[in-house]
Amino acid sequence: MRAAALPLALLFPLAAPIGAAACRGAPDVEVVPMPVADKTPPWIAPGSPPPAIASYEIQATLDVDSHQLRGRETLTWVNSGADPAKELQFHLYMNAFKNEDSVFWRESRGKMRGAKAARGGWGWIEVNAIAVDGGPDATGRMKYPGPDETVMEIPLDTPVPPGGTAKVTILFEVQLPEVYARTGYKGDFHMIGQWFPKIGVRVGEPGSQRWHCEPFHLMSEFFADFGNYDVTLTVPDTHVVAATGVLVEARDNQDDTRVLHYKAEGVHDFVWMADPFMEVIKANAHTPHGPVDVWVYSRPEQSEFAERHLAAAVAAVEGFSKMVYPYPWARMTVIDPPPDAADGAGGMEYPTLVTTASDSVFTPEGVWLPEFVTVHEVGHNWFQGILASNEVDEAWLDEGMNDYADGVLMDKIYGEETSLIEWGPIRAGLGASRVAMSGTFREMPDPIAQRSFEFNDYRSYGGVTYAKTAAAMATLQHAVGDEKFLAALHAYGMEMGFKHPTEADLVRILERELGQKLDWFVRPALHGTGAADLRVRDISCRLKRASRGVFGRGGHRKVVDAEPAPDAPYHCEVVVANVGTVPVPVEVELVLEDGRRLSKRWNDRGEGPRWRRFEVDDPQPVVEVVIDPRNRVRLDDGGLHRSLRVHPETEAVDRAAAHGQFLTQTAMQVLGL
Amino acid sequence: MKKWGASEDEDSVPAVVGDQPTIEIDANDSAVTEMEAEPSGPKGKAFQPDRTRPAPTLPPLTFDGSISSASGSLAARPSLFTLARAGARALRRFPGLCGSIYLLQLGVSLAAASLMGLLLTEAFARRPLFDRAMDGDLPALLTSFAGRPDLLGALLMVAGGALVLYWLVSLFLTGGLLAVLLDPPDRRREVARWFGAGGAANFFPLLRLALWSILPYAAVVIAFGLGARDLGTRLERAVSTGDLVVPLLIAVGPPLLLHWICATAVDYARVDLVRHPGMSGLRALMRGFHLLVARPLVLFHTALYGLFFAGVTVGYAAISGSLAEGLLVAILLRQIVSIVRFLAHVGLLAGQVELACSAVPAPFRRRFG
Repeated sequence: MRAAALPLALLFPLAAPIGAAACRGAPDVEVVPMPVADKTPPWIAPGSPPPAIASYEIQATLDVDSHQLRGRETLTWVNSGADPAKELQFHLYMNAFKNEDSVFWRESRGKMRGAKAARGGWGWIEVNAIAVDGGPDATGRMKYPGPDETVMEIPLDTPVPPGGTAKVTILFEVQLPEVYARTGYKGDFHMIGQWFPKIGVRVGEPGSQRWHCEPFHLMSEFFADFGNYDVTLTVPDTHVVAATGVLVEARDNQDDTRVLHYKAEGVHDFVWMADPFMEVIKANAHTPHGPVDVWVYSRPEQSEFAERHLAAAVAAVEGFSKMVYPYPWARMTVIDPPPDAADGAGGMEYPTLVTTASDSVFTPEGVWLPEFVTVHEVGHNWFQGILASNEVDEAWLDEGMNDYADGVLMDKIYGEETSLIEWGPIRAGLGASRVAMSGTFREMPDPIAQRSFEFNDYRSYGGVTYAKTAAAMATLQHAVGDEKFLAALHAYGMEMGFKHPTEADLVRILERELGQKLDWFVRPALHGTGAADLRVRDISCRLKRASRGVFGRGGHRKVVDAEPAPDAPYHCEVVVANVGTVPVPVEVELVLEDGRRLSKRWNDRGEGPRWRRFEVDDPQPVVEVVIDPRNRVRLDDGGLHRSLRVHPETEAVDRAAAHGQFLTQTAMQVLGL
Repeated sequence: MKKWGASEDEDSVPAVVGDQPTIEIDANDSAVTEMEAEPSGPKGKAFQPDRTRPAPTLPPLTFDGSISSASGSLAARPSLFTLARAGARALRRFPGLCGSIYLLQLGVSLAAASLMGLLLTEAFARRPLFDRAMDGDLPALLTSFAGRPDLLGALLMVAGGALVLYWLVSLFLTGGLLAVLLDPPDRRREVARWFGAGGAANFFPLLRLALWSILPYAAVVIAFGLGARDLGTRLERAVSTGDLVVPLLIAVGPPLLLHWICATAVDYARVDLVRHPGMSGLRALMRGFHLLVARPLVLFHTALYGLFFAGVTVGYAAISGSLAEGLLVAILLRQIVSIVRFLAHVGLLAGQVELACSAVPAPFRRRFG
């Protein structure tokens, strides 16, 4: 018995941590301290915010038990177009999560970026009353012109003339879904985005203007006009709240609820978060308009990552303010969702508030993934928040341009070859890693410049809109010169801030600033599929000598059969080719036997043949050729073929084989004697 | 009838004078089978080991004439220290044999490495990008293999083939080594012949045992499958080391525990098979499991080896990243690690032989004899 009990006793030490984990429930919820109102106004840039086209005054109450909201919204909309508006169209984004018939559900099958919809975790929004300019309730006249209930239209008795204003009052209620696509709840955590009826945007040429109010697609994000937001939230006094803009007032009610009043100016969206366990840490970022408060919210168990996110956010606000446009708002808020909500709610951007992700035991210091996510999401505040291109029609102008720009910033902060990983012997640069992991561009069936919901699938959308666009911009930067390109990017930001630029605006400004036409690159890179495909085709060297053969005629005919002189130099020919669809100027490095490196340039802009021959006469032969030795041409599928040696060298191969030998021998010792 | 008695072996303990214990053994007892003498080889005595001889380092069984003693009460119980000492003794006694087995192991792994080297040379020897990959540039490594998508599969097949081959060869090596440890030959120069004959004689019994051990190991696989169901999600959400430990313990703990038990039982079943030719693999396996209950010390002994193996491996992995050694130094260090692990394994086997040569527990014999 004693002997038999011993193995059982061995299990006991395991029981303690397992039992503790099983018994660990949520910590007790307590009343959180009253937040202090901000002293700074929401807009700190000189001058006024952009003209307010769509301004909202919202009062909303959150029921954290049923995860429902009740809201009252007053929208002041200005018809900034040239045609009268005979109806108003609104986004009701939350209805994307109402049932399996929605466009979003049918396209996503309930999954997005690794998160899955919970069974029964539906969400919806219902307009209970709507009145225009003080008129009667018009809910009976509401229509849903799209394929689902995410677009609502209300016809107007009196069209809104150009320059005119419509004041719309809406009573609505919202059921938050269990979060898997940006908005919703998970346990006690509430991330509340796309939550109120949001008016569309008038687009088009005068005489044919229409509403840009697309259904909520899987592969599209959001497009809205700028305006001012005045939002009052009523939440339990046990919950910490973070929101767009600044807090102007906070007070407690008698019924254990708290009222928080926020204001934001010059933004096109308003989101907020409520959670009982969040803590906040703060720092200042220094921008041309003065200090910006940077706040990071996280749960206590993620405090170590909160410090990292804070440092990255400060660097991003300062970096992008110099690179693109000075940050005009008083606050940048970063939400670090709890791990079980990170897949659904993490990694998303809104004006002045972003959610980050990648907190993991597998991303210690030196694996800069959490920092990258924060820099990326904060960076969106420039391309989505300030420039605010139409993300539905030209997603790459936000996602891809941001991906490119945050790569530049990450390289500056963490080093070009270590901007993603610098851990032990492993190093990885962000740009090169993105290209290495995204697969070959020629296998992506969609061009960059395409409406977001017309992509083949999410994989193509992600690969093309993010990685391929970033690679294209990095390649163009290399082609025209780093400093010139970054200066042109800054000019684009300063000129087009708050103006919803399009591809045409970007190209126009780049061409003007760079002083050259870019059609040779823009057409194939942005509007075609594929990429460059640079390869070393041939290296050949021979000793120089006089030509052999028969020379002369008649009596002067002679046979020449010369040998190379003892000190004859080598005549080498190197042929490189671009068998892809995108031309790109590129540096070619010829390595000689004595170690010297000769740099050549192939200024390929699409004119002429798809290959180039270099000839070199030198006492030493060429032994190695490397195309793009500094790895700046990212929009390229050449990969392994971008470099070639004449003679095999086995040092690296021997090291790899030695690793293989040790791993195999270890496995042999585990399995056998 | 066969009598226990003193062996003529140089390491044997002299017989007790005076009251000679005599135990009658049923000649039909299949646990003890007399082997026919092998025809003599070119030199030396025939391979006919006396597997009933008790462990050389243990005192002989005592018998007081009572029935309980006749059923074979457990006499000297070796301690963990005794088992470890037996391992060290075996290493000192058979250095040439250990060295030869290790060289064979090294040879198989080098052959695999050579094949891998050929494949890698053909793919990358003329590609400077791979040099950067081996210097730690991760994107260069990914790009290199992306350019040769078939290569990784080929390398894994080479490694897999070497593993399968060595596993089969291990059956021979283990049988031979156990035969030498159980019944060391009289003369050193007969060790090789003893080893070879023991390996050949026990190859198929050990192979059959390996097939029977699929049954208990299936339980290990099922335990892992059940424990690892949500492991991916939990690992994804692990923010700190503490978050990692509990899910890993739940997923890996029970199967590791079961593996520990199964591996120990199989080890002792092997000793039993070599010690008792003709025994079925299933019976030997069951006897192995029974021994774990009767002598839980064996689990600690095996655990000691497992922890040592893991510790040496992890220790090397931890320091190797910071060592800026050249290729030759790295190979040398790795071989030191491998030799240390191998010698520990041989020591484990020797300790298992030492314990197995103490009395077999009687209840099992009554039930299954």
